[in-house]
Amino acid sequence: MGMKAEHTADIEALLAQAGWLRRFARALLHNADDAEDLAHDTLATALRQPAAGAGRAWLATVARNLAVDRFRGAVRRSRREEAAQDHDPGRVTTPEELVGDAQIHRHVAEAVANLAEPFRQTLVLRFYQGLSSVEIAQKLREPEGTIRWRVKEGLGRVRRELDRRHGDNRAAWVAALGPLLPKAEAPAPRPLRAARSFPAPMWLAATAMGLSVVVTAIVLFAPKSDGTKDSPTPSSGANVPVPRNTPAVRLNLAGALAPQTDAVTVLPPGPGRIDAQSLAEELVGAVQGNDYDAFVAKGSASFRAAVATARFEQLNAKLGGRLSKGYRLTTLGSVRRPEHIDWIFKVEFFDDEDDALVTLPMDGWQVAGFLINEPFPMPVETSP
Amino acid sequence: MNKRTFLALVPALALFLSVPLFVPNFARAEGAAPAEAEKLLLRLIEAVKAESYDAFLADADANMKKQLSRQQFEGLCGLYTKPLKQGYTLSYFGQLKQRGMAVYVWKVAAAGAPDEALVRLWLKDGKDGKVSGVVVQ
Repeated sequence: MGMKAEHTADIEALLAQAGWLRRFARALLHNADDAEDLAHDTLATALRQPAAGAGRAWLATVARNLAVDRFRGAVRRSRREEAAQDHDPGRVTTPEELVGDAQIHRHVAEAVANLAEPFRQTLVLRFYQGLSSVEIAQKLREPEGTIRWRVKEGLGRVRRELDRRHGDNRAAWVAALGPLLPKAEAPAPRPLRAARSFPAPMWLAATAMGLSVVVTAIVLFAPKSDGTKDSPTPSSGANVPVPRNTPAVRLNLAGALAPQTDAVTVLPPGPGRIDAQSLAEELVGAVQGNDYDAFVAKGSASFRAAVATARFEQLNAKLGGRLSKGYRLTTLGSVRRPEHIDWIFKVEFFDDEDDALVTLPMDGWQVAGFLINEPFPMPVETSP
Repeated sequence: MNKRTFLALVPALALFLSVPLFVPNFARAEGAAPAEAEKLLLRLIEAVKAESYDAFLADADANMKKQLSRQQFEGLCGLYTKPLKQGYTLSYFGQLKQRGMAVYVWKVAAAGAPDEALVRLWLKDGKDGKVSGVVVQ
């Protein structure tokens, strides 16, 4: 009871000050989707022009050019919107809209107040008290990078909570918060992306570009090959049919058979049961059979867009032969990410060479990525 | 039962009694992390919690000591020290074979982190007590 009263006071305190909400709205809305779109467009461009994609510098140039294009587009859009407003001077905000806006402002305050620590504290210090990341770092005796990450993650959590409260209709709360911004900064409302902020296309493209570091992977260190690798045992399993294995742990996204049911908290019951193991087998089978259509059949739109035929064929050229000699796929488990789930599999090849670790990110009920971890000398993540 | 029959049954009885001694090892190999590997992982986690670069490399082989910079380690601590201090759970996923080394895979769910981490631990020869590599994804 006491906690509830204190919590309510938090929300009321947050609502009482308009200044912080304006700062917060700016951070919340500013580039909420633009950065993601830019990354997507950059990498899509990279995929369309693989020969030019020699490295980071080229990628950075593409990103810069796209950013400039976007800026020019935004200026043009802003001018159009201003012109449109000028043509509608009699437009007034209705009482219903005002109530709706106030409700969304309360939702924002509640979302911040309900954040887990340390995100709540960091966002309050940053936007309510107006401290810079440096000042917060000094105050909390934390590294600046940690503070910046908390701000970013905290904002992401608030966005997701607002999405959830508004039925995944980002346009609704973006439109309501927009008037808080200076006119030039107000974003044009737009629907939520189908595959919002899912990094799989970035993985796919980044690896396609030969980048050695995957976006979400922190490679601390991987031992270098010392050249002592055993000679591969001559395969005795040629033409061995792919076994229908019985995995040690068989997981199901619906959670009905899942001993690790953390996925249930993220994924709502879907249209029928989707078995992660079966999906992975389908994808690996598609690689083995060089069946591009089957490979992308259950992929999200961004996945299909990112997986070019040529890249898929390269993947087949690399792994198809090994897979054809037989393999065993085992579900190892799932890892919860902020907005999706990674399913992790082990692939043991019958050629007695190295095993592979396969990561299958799921965006809702669709496959949104396919990542194969290869062994030494560096655990470079590769994908089509 | 005469004495001869009893003596004949002794080896079978001994075999029967010894089976339970092997069963736990068999079960561990199937579902739980090898004790040595888990012990090493726990030491690494404690080193991150304590932000101790030296402790992190205490079980590392020479190559890892050479490759892992203090700056890299501090970057890791910046992300994980605080969440890990609030408590964490380990879920052992399994073992891979890569280039003659054993790779052990865990999921680490830190109480203060927004998402979970996949940790891969390379052990040379699998049992020499030296860590050859760590990847946090």
